[in-house]
Amino acid sequence: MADPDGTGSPTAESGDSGSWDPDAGDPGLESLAGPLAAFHAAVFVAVPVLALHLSGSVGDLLAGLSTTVGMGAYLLLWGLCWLTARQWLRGFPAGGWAASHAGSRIGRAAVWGAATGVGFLWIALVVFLVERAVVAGVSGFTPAFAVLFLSIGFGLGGAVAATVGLLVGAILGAVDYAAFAIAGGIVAGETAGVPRGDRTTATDAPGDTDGSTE
Amino acid sequence: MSYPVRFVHVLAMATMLGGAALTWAATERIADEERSALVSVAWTYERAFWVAASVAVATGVGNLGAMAPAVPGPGTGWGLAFAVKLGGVVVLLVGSLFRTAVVWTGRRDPGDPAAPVTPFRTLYAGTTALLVGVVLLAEVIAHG
Repeated sequence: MADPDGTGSPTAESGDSGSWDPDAGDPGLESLAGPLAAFHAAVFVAVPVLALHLSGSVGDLLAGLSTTVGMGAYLLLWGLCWLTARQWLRGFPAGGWAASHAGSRIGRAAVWGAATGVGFLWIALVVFLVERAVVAGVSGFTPAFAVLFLSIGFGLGGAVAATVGLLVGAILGAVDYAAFAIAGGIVAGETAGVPRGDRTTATDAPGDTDGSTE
Repeated sequence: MSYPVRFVHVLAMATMLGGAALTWAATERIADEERSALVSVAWTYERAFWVAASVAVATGVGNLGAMAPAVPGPGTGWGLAFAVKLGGVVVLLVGSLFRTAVVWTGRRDPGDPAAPVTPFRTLYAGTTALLVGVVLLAEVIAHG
């Protein structure tokens, strides 16, 4: 996907401590791509379903959705969330959450959210076109249909998807950032006064490092 | 198609609840000095939890769709129980993000290797309790 910053070059990221090296990043963060993607996809579905249920209209909406289409759409969403979450995490500076600025992180999350929304819509439209081609053949594609579909579907639809994605991305990015900021504070409270070099890691074998905490 | 979807939904639920209970049990048995071992166990559960949670949400909507359009509204007993269950699921998802954040941060920056495992104990006890509540509501929804 395109660099959401639009700069295409490693520059100092405003608000972050130190300069941003795209080749350095924080490799440990990428292990969060899976959990974050699952969280984003699950919340994006669960919250609207709850809202629709409370409004009494969830039955009417789901009545027209087949199981295959629904599961396929969810897998598509989940996969796109994973791709964009990984890209978002790769943009963190080497110090991870602690070294990043909330505003810039949430801003980038919003952009990747827009990318997720547009990607989801466009892929769904392509699948629809392929299905139509298989069922109706070339005769199903009149010039009027092509113009209407391209302009409304990909054009206007893409703009709406990008806007929704932007908002959802910003909200979820803020939630992610808050969760890890609070967690970092809790862990930091336990590690206060312990030099980093004296700390063992979960991957260290017993006795490999000096675990002295004095 | 509804039976396989329901089966997968229950399987995902069992993974989340069983894993949380086992990890909670591990926090009660692993000594504070073996904190890094606990963090490794917890991180394994976190990865499994999120796959199961995502599958549970997808199949949950699938189960709901199988009832559509005759889904009881929120003004009915069933509808109210379902609304509470779904609200509990949202709380579980957000709370689990925080739990994952604590485990990941503890894994990356373990600090004092003999620091108490109490935070993990609390998190997994809370997760287990919340999941038990969601399952109880699911039983009410499914069987009245």
